[in-house]
Amino acid sequence: MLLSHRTKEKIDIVDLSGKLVMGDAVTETRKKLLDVIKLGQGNLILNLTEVNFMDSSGLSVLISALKAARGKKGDVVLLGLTPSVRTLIELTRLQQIFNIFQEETAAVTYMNS
Amino acid sequence: MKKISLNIESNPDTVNLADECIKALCFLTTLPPVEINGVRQAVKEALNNVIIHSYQGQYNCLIDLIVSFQDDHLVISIKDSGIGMDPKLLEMDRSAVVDIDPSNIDQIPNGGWGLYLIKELMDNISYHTEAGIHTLEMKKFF
Repeated sequence: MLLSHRTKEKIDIVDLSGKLVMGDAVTETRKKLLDVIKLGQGNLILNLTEVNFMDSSGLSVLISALKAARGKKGDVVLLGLTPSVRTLIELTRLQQIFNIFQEETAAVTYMNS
Repeated sequence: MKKISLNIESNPDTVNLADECIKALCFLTTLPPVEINGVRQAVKEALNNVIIHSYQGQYNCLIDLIVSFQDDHLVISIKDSGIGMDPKLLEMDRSAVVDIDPSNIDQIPNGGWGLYLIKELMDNISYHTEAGIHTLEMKKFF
């Protein structure tokens, strides 16, 4: 699992790539995302364009991040779901709590609105 | 009937290797990519459950992962010798785990989707225990 952090218009953006699955990938990603939310404004775009596989442990990371962000009156949105990740999100009906975008500019505009 | 058995350790790194094997084996079938990902997801969740629940987080126990190819379906069996699972859990309606109230995210669980996903993604599931060996058998039709 590779992870990089950048900011755009004061919005935190984390780019993930690889598999977000049980083990070190989940542990390290959860810690990093919670750190980013804690140190930032609480608004996070999670770019999953390069995440080709996720298990339910990965979902728990997304929910932990969302809860932390909402605790700061912020939000987490998801960007660029691959088919397998989209299927997982839809099966677990988490599209009800995450806004999902395909374009980064649209996600940034939403966060700034 | 073609059949392959993988004897793996109960740790996440090995499970990830097993996932690569499952993916490659599924490409030998006529399953479309979206269904292949579903099979991978179900097997991954089942193996995670064995590690977390049956082996209670122990990383050096053994899991047998057996894939057999039938005429029109795959059978994937996962065997472990941990504490096992109450078979009644498979019969229970698991849909409550995805019954989300978007206005109250604090009540959304941080886990518990595994069995629900397995049931949604595979066509037939059974679980039994014999001589201390627990077997989860999952079928996927082409």
